[in-house]
Amino acid sequence: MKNELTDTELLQELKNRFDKNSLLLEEEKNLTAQLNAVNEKLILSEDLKTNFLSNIRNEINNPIASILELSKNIMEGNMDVDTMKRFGVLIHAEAFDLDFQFKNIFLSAEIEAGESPLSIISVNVGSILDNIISSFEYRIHKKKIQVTFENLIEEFHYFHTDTEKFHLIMSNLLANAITFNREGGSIKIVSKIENNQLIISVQDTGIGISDKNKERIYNRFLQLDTGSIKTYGGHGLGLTVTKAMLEIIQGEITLSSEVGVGSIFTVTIDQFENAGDDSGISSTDGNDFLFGQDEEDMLF
Amino acid sequence: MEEEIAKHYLYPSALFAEKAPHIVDTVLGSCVAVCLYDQKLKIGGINHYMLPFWNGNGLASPKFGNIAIEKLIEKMIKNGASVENMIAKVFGGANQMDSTMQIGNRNIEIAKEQLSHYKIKIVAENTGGTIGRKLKYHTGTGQVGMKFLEKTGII
Repeated sequence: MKNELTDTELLQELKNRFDKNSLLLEEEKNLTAQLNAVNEKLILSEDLKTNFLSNIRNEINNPIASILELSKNIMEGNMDVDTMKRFGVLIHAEAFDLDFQFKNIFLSAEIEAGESPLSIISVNVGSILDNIISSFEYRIHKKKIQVTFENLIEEFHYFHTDTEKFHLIMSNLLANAITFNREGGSIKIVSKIENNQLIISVQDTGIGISDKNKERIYNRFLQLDTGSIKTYGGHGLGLTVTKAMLEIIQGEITLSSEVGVGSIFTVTIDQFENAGDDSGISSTDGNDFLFGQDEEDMLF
Repeated sequence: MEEEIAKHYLYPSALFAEKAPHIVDTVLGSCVAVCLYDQKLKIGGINHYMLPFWNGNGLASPKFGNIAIEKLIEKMIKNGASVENMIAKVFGGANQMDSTMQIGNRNIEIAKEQLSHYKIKIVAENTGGTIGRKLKYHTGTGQVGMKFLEKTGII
């Protein structure tokens, strides 16, 4: 028997090959488009970095200048106690802001270096949130913002997560809710635990974020409001590092927002199974890693 | 009696390279871990990345292969190692059966590409398939113990 094709089969085969070809072409086009997109992003990223460096100068220089000036005034000593107290408050507020920004910068650097170890402990979520809110008291008060905190987590319920990262995540969300709020606006924070997941939402009455910008806000160094006269302070790292930290502690962030009405950021965090494991070895799936004796081990 | 060696559990998106010998444990699904070892200095390092390329979004962290491999090499060099003395072992990159994304394969590909760029020889590898892996890397000897996960689920 010869392996001859009938005309129909031949035509079918030709058609198949043509189809395959055009599919490949299509894929190639897609790949080129993707490459272009990545290229543009890299260029943008470089620009943003430059922007960040000039931006960070103001963000650091201005508070330091005020701290130096205010503390010098106090040192000179010719002022009444009330003024001195007021200066103390201002110095503290500036130093607090600096500290907060540095934490974001250092943590970003740690994450980019792959050296941000997890340290999981039992956390009282309510008291951490209370603590964060009161640490931003000065900024909240200054902008005449009403903050309500509704804690739906049972008393004495502890959640296993990395406190330091959790603290910074929530600080960033609150800081943004203050910064981008209107004068006299409000912020509502709700925390609850459902199916072993911690869910916290932070709702503000700020400028809101358009659909177009909803993905861009997580880009590093990117601030929607750029240019020489920025309305809002900051360095554009807050949400980037927040998202990166959430990935590390197995969490997610979602956003619903309407321009001019406000935004609701919601974080959902999975509970870590092993808390306070001081060997530093804790697995996310409950497996233990002490295999060694058994024979199935392959050695390389 | 063997001396007690420090242990380290390596999380995804992190990397580990220290001068002192450690036993590093990690669990891989579609992720890939590159174990580097300087044969002369007898020190090692390991990464654990989830995706092949950083696409310009978010932080440029070792979550991404192209960054994780470069940073691991950099860190090894900082510890005194040199690229000429390095050998590599590559693990992981399982593919989810129902996924067309082939993230595992792409993760493996980037490791091979980058390592050959640096002319670092891959002396051992166990990659691909559909089953996750557990690794135990002794950074002082360069030896890697591997075991397949019992369940077929991808992490």
